[in-house]
Amino acid sequence: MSLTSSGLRICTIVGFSVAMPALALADVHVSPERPMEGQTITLTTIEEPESEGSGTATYAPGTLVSRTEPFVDSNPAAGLQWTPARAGLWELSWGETKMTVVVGRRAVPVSGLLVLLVAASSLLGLSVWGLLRKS
Amino acid sequence: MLQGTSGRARTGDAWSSGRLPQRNGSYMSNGKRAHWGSRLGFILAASGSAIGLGNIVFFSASAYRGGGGAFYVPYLIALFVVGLPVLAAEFGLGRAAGGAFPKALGKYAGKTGEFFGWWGIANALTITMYYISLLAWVTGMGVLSLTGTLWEPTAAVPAFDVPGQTLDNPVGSFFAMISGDHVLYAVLFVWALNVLLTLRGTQSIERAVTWMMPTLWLVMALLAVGGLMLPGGTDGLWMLVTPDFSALSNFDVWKGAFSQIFFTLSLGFGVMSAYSSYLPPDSDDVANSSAVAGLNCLFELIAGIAVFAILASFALTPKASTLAMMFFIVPKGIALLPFGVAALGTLFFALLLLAGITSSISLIEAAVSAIIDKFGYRRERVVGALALAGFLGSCLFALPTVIDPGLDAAGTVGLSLLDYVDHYANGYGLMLVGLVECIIIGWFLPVESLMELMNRTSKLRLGTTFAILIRYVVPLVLATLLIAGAISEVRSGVLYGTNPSLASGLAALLPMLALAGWLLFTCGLAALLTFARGSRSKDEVV
Repeated sequence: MSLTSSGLRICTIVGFSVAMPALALADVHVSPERPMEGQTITLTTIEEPESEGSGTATYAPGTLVSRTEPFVDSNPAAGLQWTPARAGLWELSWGETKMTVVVGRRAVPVSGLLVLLVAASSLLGLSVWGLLRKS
Repeated sequence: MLQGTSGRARTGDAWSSGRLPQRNGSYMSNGKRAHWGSRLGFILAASGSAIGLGNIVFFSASAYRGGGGAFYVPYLIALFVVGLPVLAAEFGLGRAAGGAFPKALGKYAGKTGEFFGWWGIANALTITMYYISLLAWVTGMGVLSLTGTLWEPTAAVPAFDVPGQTLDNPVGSFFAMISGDHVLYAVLFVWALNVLLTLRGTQSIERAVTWMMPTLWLVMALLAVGGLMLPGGTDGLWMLVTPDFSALSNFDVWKGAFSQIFFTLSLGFGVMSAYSSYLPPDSDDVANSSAVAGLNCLFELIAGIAVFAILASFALTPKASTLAMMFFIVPKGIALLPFGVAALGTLFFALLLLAGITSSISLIEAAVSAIIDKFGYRRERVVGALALAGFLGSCLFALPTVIDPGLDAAGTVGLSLLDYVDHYANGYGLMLVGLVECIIIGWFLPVESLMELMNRTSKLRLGTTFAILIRYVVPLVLATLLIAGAISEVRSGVLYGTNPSLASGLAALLPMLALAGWLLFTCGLAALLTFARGSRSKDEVV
């Protein structure tokens, strides 16, 4: 049934919503809108960022494999630039601005496809075998 | 010795051909135990029990937290090492004892076994109460989908009437809804649905799941396909399944996967034993457990794809909380869809309600079946009394009284209680019952006798691996999870739910009250029911 397990723990997200009701999403322009791994992303803000062209990029925020790396703007004139090394969900943070970006893949990941196939075929096999078995 | 399978051919043939006496409740007019109308009906009901709110949202959060595809490695191992053996054992136990959980455990381990059986039922009742409160909130959000400003993300909703404090949607609408008195009508509505569906026992449950489960599968499949067709939707799929193997060295990932499997299959509730006690003697427990576990986990995979596709398409971060995922994160994604927002939003909450109801009726049936087994009361009376007590309990978990207007914690008394009690009932209660259950089956029954009974009717014969798993491996895994949880609890130095910013008043007392209330209710009820004089003897019903 798996209702909740390990508590509902809503406090974090609710607190976040109350304390920071409006993230600066509307003030940030991301180019390209759907970036790919290895592709440089340009972030331009309407207002000047409070930090001087540097921030952090956190891969898979809130997970047990999360990692944070700094990024430095190499070309301030063009806006804040960052090149994601890998695909997935990234949280970018600079000054008081935070935003989430999904970095796409250039090709279908073989390991992901393998996991999907193994999981789907074993679960489907289990179901079908169980359903068709007659006593 | 276990009950034999005399009369197997007679009952089995009749069951297969559907030529059985009229059923009504737990027992038939001739005094024999009621039965499922068909094997498919049983599988739909048992998988409906397993497929709940957590399958739709919590699995996705757990998989994301555990490194995407890498989570599937411990998850699949947990399924085969813990999930399938315990599920098969629960099916076998219910069938062997010919009764629900307390009767089954009591038969092989005396009053101690019966006490833990009732304790499991008391836990299941506690969970039913707050689960129905959650379903009442799901209903409330469904109504808001059609009538309110839920899908206007920028609409600032006044939060708890605190001057100057507003919340964005969907958080704002959610808190406005749970802090209003109308939510209690929703609790009444959900309980009424549950009463309606459990009043005739297997008959009404089977009739309901026959259309509910296919609908649930169809809607979820449509959501998954729709999600994948969104721009960036396939990125979500790859985020879900692409492994980061560095996660496998983290104990918490393994702990999360084993806990997930235990909870997702409704183990330790007494539900599966109760459901299987309505099976004919020639049932194949191994095939049944494969079908139920496979369907449950497959649904979880499809739900994960749907949720991840929507979240990735709108760059939303999954949260490791059922409540946050179903009331805030996924609705936030739905609100960003280019069209059909209200319709899809309502469909999402209807899906949650459907999944929740198929689970809550099984929790109620586990208790009803156990009480009828021992006391022989009429089903209508038992369902009525349980519904009344359960409704009052659900009202407690849905109490709209605001104790935390700044939302430093959970806002209302109901939500705070729900959070704290869930921590103990779900996090410790079920696993402890599972542990005791495996010890009773493994050592007292003993497991070889159960295997002998199951092997008489199963095409796939259980061997020593099954015995080793039930006797040693599963208890070791569950004990490790329980001890690891207790250690982290002690290390934190404070009672779960204690919040320094709520250091006075009712809010400060609630964590302690929740723990004391849970212990008193579950232990007290279990003791009372264990030592109460029953009207049915142990062997009367087989």
